[in-house]
Amino acid sequence: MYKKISILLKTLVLPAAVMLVTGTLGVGTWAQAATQSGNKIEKLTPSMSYAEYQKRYEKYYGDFTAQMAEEGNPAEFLLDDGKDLANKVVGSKGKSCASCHGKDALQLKGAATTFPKYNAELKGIMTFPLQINTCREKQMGAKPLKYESYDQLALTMYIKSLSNGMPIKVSIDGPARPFYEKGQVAYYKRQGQLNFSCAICHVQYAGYKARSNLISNNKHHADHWPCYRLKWGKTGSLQRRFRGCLKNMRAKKPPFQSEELRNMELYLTYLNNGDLIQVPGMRM
Amino acid sequence: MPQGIGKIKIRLPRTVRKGQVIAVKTLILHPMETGLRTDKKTKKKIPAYYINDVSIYYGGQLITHEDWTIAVSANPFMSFYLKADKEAPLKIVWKDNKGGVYQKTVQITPR
Amino acid sequence: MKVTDRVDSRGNAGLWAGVAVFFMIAAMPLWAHAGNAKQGEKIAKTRSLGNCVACHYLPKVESPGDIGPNLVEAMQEYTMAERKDVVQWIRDAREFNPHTIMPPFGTNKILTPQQIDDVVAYLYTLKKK
Repeated sequence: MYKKISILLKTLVLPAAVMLVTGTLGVGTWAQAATQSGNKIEKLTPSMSYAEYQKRYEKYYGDFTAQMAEEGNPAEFLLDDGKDLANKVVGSKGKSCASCHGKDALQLKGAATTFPKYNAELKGIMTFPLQINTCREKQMGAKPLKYESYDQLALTMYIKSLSNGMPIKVSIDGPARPFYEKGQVAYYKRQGQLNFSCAICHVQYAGYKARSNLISNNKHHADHWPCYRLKWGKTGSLQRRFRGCLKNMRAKKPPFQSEELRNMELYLTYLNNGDLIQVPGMRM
Repeated sequence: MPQGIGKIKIRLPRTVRKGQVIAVKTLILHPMETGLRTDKKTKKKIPAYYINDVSIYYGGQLITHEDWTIAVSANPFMSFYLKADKEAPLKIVWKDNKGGVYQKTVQITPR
Repeated sequence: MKVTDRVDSRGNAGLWAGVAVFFMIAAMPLWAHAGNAKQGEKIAKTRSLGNCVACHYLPKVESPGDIGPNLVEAMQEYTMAERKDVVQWIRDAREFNPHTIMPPFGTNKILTPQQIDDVVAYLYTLKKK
């Protein structure tokens, strides 16, 4: 049985980790799998099925999530401000988002589903906040918005919320492929003083408790950003969460929209393909 | 100072019958600084900034008044029950310790 | 007479003290590894130091994690002779399992060797004889 699996691993185009996450491989042994470009990634097996994880989550956090749903999401306040920003004329060319994309930028409905994606000019991965800033600089002649500032989050959140209820469909074909693999390597790389990787917690030990926190499975990790996080007491982006986790691992924190974080965002969003976008989200 | 302080959301049931006891849910954006935290960079105490007085008026008449302290969380959520026995505006006023006053009025129209 | 008696007894006492000191020095390698169990408990339960309770069960802690094994149960299987294995688990667990989640406390200098000794001393107090 194991021999068959190892032959499969060598021949399959898809990296082994994706299959592990989707649960197509059974009980695995400790081994290293390789990506197309030859980078070794650690092969990790989920300790429990997703159904078992959901059961544990419901038991541990069920009442609390119900309470959060009742109280409502403070991030919804930003949506109105985002709408105003989309209609506001800024920059040297006298344009607003609405001048190209229709009133309230409504033509951007569904735009967020394909992000992050490859961009030829950037020679890298374009994320949604970066796309908004690029658009502001090139088309409107306006200053880019500072990442994690109130206006930036409000505008991103508003335009992304137009795609609410639509499934994520990120493509990793063609030129995006090497960046996807870099993101995967970063996701599986052991780093920091504590020698953790993203995957060891969120793939292998998802569903266990680290002190009083239940470690979350990486399904539904990328479909609701920017979101309101109770620990922050304010709204933040996925990359802020990445940086927070890296800090807890006592590793180096790359700056916002740096290449590492963008590749990682592509990898994680691809894992969440098919999940419905629900912005703004709310997390603990 | 963070932006968006004092934004208010009040939620009522879609249909209200006369004499029905309804749940009113409110949410206000406010940092609710306790005055006990220190800024990590400047090592100085962050001054207290919190809502300490909430009044609820129904039809111009004060129906309840609350004193809040630093123990209330940031972006506080408040819900209360109200007997909707007349067609009148419901006005809720929040006041904080720096003199900020935030209010919102919703019309209650029982059928 | 009395004076000489005293001198004799004093000489004897000195001899015995010397013998005792000699044995203590001979037993030094065993003593040096003892560690301070009380200090170790503090290290194991402090978030900025060992933070063992993030993943392991330890007694008298509110809501410990369950990623790693229950340390009270695990310690029953270790004898005093296997002490260096326990130290190695904390210093760098990759020697036993290259894909472990346990941070290498010694190799990455999260704890000093003295602190690791203290923690191990605390762990051995969990062992029921």
